Amino acid sequence: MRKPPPSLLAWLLGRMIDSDTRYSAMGDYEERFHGITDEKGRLRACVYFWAQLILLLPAFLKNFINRSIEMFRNNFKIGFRNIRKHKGFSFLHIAGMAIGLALFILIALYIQFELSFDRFHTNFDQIYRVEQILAHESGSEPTAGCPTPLSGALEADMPDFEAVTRFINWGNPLITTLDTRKFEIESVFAVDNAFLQMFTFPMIRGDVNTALEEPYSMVLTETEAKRVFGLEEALGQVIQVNNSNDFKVTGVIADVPKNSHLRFDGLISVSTMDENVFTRWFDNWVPLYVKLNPEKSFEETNEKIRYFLKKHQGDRSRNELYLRPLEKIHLYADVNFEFAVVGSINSLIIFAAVSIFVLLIGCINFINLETARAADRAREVGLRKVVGAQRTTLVKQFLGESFLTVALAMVLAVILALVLLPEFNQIVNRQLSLNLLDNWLLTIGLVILVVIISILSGFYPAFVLSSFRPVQVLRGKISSGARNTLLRKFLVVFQFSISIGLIIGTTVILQQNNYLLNRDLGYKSEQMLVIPAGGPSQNVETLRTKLLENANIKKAAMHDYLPHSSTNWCYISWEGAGPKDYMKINVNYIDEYFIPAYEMTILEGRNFTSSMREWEENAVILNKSAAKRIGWDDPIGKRLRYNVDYRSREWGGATVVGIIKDYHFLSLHHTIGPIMLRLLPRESSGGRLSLKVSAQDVPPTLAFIEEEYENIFPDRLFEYSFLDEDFEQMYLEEQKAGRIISYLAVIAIFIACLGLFGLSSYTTKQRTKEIGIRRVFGASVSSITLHLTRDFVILVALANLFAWPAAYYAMQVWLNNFPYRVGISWLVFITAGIAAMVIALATVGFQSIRAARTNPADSLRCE
Amino acid sequence: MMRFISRLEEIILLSIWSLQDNAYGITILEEVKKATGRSWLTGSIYASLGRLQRNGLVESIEGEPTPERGGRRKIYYRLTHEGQQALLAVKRLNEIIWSSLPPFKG
Repeated sequence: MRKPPPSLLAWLLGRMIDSDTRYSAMGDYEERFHGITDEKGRLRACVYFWAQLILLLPAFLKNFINRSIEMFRNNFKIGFRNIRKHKGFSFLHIAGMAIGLALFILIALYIQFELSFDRFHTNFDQIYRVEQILAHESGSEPTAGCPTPLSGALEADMPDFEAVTRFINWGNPLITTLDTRKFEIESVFAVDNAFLQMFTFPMIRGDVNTALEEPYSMVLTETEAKRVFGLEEALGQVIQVNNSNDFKVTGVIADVPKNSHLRFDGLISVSTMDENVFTRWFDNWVPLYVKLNPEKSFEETNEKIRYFLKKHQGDRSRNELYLRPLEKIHLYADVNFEFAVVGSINSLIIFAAVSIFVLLIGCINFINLETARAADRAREVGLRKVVGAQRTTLVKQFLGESFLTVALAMVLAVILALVLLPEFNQIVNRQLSLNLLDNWLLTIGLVILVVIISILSGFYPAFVLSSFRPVQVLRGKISSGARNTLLRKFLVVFQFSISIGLIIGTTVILQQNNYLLNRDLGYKSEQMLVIPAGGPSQNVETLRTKLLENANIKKAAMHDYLPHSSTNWCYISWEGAGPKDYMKINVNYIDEYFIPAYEMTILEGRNFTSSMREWEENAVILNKSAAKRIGWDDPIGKRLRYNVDYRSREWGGATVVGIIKDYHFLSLHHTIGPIMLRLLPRESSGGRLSLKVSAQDVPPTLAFIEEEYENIFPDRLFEYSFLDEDFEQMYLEEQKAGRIISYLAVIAIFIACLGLFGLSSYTTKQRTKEIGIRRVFGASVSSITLHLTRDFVILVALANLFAWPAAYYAMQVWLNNFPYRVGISWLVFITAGIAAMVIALATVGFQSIRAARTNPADSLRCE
Repeated sequence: MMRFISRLEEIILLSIWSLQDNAYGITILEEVKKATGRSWLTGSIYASLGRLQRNGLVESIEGEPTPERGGRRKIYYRLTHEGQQALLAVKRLNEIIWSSLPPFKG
């Protein structure tokens, strides 16, 4: 007995031959195979088979493609006819799907953009930010601020790093050009010379290697350079900064890309700054970036750097350093002293999940409507089967139709997304653009999505429709897909569960946002105008006196930090404390008018008094939390010691003169901690002046303030902001999430209603005769309407049962991110349930009433 | 008006005719190879053979199962009347065209 040829090879070869001559050809092949085996061996015979296979392939493929195209053209034609024939249904499918898809595209663009943050740097995978875990008496917290001398020490002792650069906020300096024009550069940072080599901010003018080496060098972005110098060459220009030192413009770089977490309009060389600032190891405020040598592993270096601070801060130091990859800053960093506006990976996940849910609702519409009208197409299926269609052919045909629907919807979705993009950009506060030719990743993603959705939504209808038995169908015995009703009901419940869940989520998020903006912060911020001060205090005193002469300006107070974003910290020790007892505490410098102006409550002791300002520099006011944390029952008159911060260079002692009621000195993302209020030194003013203005005549008041300001500070730019507006800035992420989710919820409901509308119009149409008979037997319009809507009402009611617990759980998780949060009221659930019910009733009821009012003579006539 | 067959089809038909009772895949392939002087793929011979059969120019007869064909029967091919007519039509066509040609001027 001879060994047969390899079976797989033979099978493949068989596929290449037409079925009508396959038998004969395979016989020939095998005969030849054995012939060659006998003569030259089995190996040669296999080679012969392979050669036949490969040589036949081109002709085979050509045939195959020709045939598929023919098939596809036919399916396409039938599918298109079907879409045209059932315009109403097709519209519901396509519209629902298109809206869902458009939303999905927008969210995908947003997510893509958020994920792209900081990846444009050539060496982004080598760059890390050094962060610190700062240990204190009640635990530890991560911070982006490093000890001031750290960068030098890392350069000296850590060969793992190729480069180190600081990135220090240098505020918004006022610059004066040679021809005495003044500009404010909104955001300037002091960086090391390595900065421009490390990061990829392309240099348009100037030398990357030396631009920021010399002190008093400044690099501007292209936009700023154009704004200041116009068409003139910016490079080499000399400008006066803050009316004191002259700087040289040593470079112009391209504008910072939108997806950079480092945002700035200008850079200065850090060598400009006083070196003595960078000498204290317990002074933590310097953000630091390093470039890792590509040969070193991140894990090892991260471990090496962990206890680096012990060497400099002493063995008792429990502070640890770690590296955070550059591309993980935007979405994952949740640290103190964060200077970048960071996003959150959690809200991205929520957006993605919700947009997928909305898409699912669209898919369900397709499944429901297709299976519901299965009976209509039963005859077509029957006839096709009779003339020889196989089941696989039919499945292909119906899948093809769903593909066509989805593809059409996708085209519409892209158009819709383009239309909605500007609006969407406003909501998410980004400049996204939709360019499918450039963004091939998205394009491929969308094509794959079309395929997945067509299979997902077309599979079940294809399966059901192709299963009909031609004999039964053509005898007209098919029922209206009764066995599918359970699935359909389940899917409707699913759709409405999602919709109700989204309504609940939206409501809770909006309530929480409202709460964040309106919570009693412990002080009054209404009509509070903040303008910059600073400089010698006599000038500010003069301004204050002048301004208070205006009846519309009621109060004026000086302070360094804003009451809602006080970000300066130091350590204190106190009378009766052990040698290891020290506490991290927030510090704000204020004048004696600050507490009354903001209507803060003094619980014990007294406010600062101006007559004793000299002496009062050694007086402090603590908040209730600070006193409690120290453990003082009677804090007034107790002594404490504080270490350095930006205003005091030495350790100093002070006496507690007052205890103030806790107020929120940071955003509501933080619990209230201890804060120490110190009096501004006599000779220098605070950085800001807060003015309480009356609500009437705001524009003239503003004009008055500006005039007086410019009289006293002729070389400064006047700018102002209302404190209330600043609050909204603090909760932008939440506002954004709230708006996106509410839009998604509205759209989810809308798409679900499209489906419900289609489904109910179909079922009522099918029940025309039933309704007619009921009418003849005396049923009233209202009872028939009730009868028709009852099924849907039950489904929507059922949806509540699923939606409530899920939404409750999800919202609990979300709210847990906030130390100050609203409670979830049961009213929200009831309202969402009722809202969904009303919307569903309106959708279904309209058609039911119309059906119920049809004259039975019309509906029962049978010709 | 009858459809003229292709060159390959003509050669295959002629091979079957000449092979008489022994015309099956391999022998046909050998004949075609002998006539044209080059080797052909079994698959492409069968593509034509299938077409000829569908158009009724050849018919097939099942032979005995043989072990060297993996237990399959040999399928013998035989010219039908239409097949013979098709060959004659091609022959006539050639003769008409050739006979009316003027002398070749190189």
